[in-house]
Amino acid sequence: MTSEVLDRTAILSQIEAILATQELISEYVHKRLCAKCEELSDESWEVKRKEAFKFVRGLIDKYAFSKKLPRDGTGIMAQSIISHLLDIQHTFLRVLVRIDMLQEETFNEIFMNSMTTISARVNEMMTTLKLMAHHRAGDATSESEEALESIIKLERLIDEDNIIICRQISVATGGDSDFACYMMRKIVADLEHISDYIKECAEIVAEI
Amino acid sequence: MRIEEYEFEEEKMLSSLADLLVEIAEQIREGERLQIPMPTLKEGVIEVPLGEPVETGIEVTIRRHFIHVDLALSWRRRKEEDA
Repeated sequence: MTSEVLDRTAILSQIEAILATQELISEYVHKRLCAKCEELSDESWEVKRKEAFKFVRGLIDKYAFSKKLPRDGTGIMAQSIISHLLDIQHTFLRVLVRIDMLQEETFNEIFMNSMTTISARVNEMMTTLKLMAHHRAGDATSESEEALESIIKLERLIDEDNIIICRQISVATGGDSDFACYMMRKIVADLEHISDYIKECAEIVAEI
Repeated sequence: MRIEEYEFEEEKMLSSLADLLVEIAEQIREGERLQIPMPTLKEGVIEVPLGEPVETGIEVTIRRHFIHVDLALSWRRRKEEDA
């Protein structure tokens, strides 16, 4: 068994490639959630939806490099990053499926602002994490430290947004929730979890 | 439609976290009910019946920038409360 073993830079560039696709998924999710801001026709959303699911399927092959991880600390950190990336994409898939469950139902105005703020921030975190992987591959230490700081900041902001949105939902619905409202809460919770995974992933990217 | 599912997510200072844990510990010692403040719930407090045995899960990850301690508890609901 003398298969080729990847070095740190090669691992980081594989990770960056996965993040680039996940970023596209998060962009779709964000745009879909603030559909009102975009005013796209239903047909074009259908095309974009298909694209988003295609991205998810396409991601599976991108993990093939896992076979070539070194048997050392770097390999262990890489598996930890991979595990977080899988959590991120699995949660995005859940959000995509939930958006399908909502069908044509329009989102309640009350939730719109907070929800789009959260999805915009998640999207920004994805972009930052992708850049961070790039900086780390090129040993751009100060840039990557900055990226980590901004990811940590965004994650905190999302936590605050999450508490606000939940309170708004509680007040607006008096504690009861209908199907659409429940789905929206779950989508918000998923997005908030994605922000946690991104932060945890960034912590390891900073160390590898 | 009533869906009972809540999540606690809040930033706390160490002393207020200690207060929360002490409060939880005292209620568990009594073994009747657990009242937990939920920052995201409308009444602000959720009350759940306690029961034994308690399945516990404590996960700790130590990294350069953060330490994560995840605590999970679960127990069976008593039969009479299902009604």
